[in-house]
Formats: sequence, structure tokens, C-alpha cells
Amino acid sequence: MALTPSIARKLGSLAADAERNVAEMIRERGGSAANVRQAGPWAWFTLAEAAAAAVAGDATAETAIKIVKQARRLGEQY
Amino acid sequence: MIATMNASNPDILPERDAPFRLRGVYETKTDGCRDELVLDLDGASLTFKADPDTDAIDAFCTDGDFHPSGGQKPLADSPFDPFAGAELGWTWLATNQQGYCDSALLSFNGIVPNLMVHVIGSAIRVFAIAPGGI
Repeated sequence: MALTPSIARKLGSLAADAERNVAEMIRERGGSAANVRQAGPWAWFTLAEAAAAAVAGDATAETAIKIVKQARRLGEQY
Repeated sequence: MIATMNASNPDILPERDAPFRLRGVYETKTDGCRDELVLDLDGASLTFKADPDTDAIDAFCTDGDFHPSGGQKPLADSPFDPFAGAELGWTWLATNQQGYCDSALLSFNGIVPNLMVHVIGSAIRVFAIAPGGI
């Protein structure tokens, strides 16, 4: 999926992993199963797909992206 | 810059006798995301910035009259509208369970918060807090 500037902006530094699955990214960054649940149906889409929906105004997709961004708790090492 | 908001300093407004009255709100958008919001406060300005990598918020106060640059446009039809000319009272910062500071609360004409400034999806959103409560 082509990353438009708007989609890339939504993702920030996650743009490098745009084709990866949201749930996989949450878990890789230390997020819990609860975090994956909170991402809703977008957990099973790629970051690029979720970001495209967020750009189109889908608030649930925006939430899923934020969960990935903040899955890694500050101050934690793993 | 005269003050930066952080966890140990959630009150970002410096001491001064004159009230910080809201004279205008300006936004900057990058690739469709509102990534900066500036409150013109009569001789000072309060700037919020979104971090697109973490969806955290940064805030700082700058002394002196605010003059918008070319990219800063007046924010129209927003939750700030009822508070035009009102005195900005107290400020709060919110850090979420993940450890990210991603929200600020603002009160106008009092010390009960009226607005929440929140970052999500690389963009700054502003929410009105319903008055009342129990």
C-alpha cells in the first residue's frame, strides 16, 4: 500500500513498519492482550491500512495506531 | 520561551499580575494533522505540540505578543469559542498508564477544567468538558 504523506504522518516513526500487522506490533513492543483487544478489529489489519482509515476519519483506527505507539511503557526495558 | 510544562511543573503560566486572557487560537497542520496549537494570551502565548512518533504532547509558554506565522491559521468553530476573552486560570498535565504525557487540561474564569487538549494519531484534539457533574 502506498504511503501518502498523510498516512505517513499518522504513523510517525511507525511508517517504517507500515506493512506489519497492528496486533503483532503491539505485542512486539511489549503490549498486552488487553492492548490488542483495545485496538478492536484494526488489530488484524496492517498499520498502513489502519492509518489510511484514520486519515479518512475513523476514530477507532486512530486509537489502534496510538496503542501501537504507546505499547512500549516508558521507563521499561524488555 | 519562559516556561515548559512537564510532570513536575504542570502550571506552565508564569506569575504576573495581568490576567492571561484568551485573544485567539491558532493551528498549524502538517499533512492533514493539527500538530501545533497556539493560544494568544495577551502578551504571552501557550504552545502545544504533538509528537508524531509517540502521540505525546509538549507545551511551553512564550513571553511577548504573539504574531502568527504564515502556517499558523486561526482555529474556527472550536471548543475554545465560548472562552474568547476569558482568563486562562489553571493548567494540568495528564500522564497515561503507559507513562506518556498526552493531555493537558485548561480552566477559564475559574479553577475547574473546561477543556482537554489531547494528542492521538499525530494530531491535537480539543474536547469540551461538560459542566455540572455530581
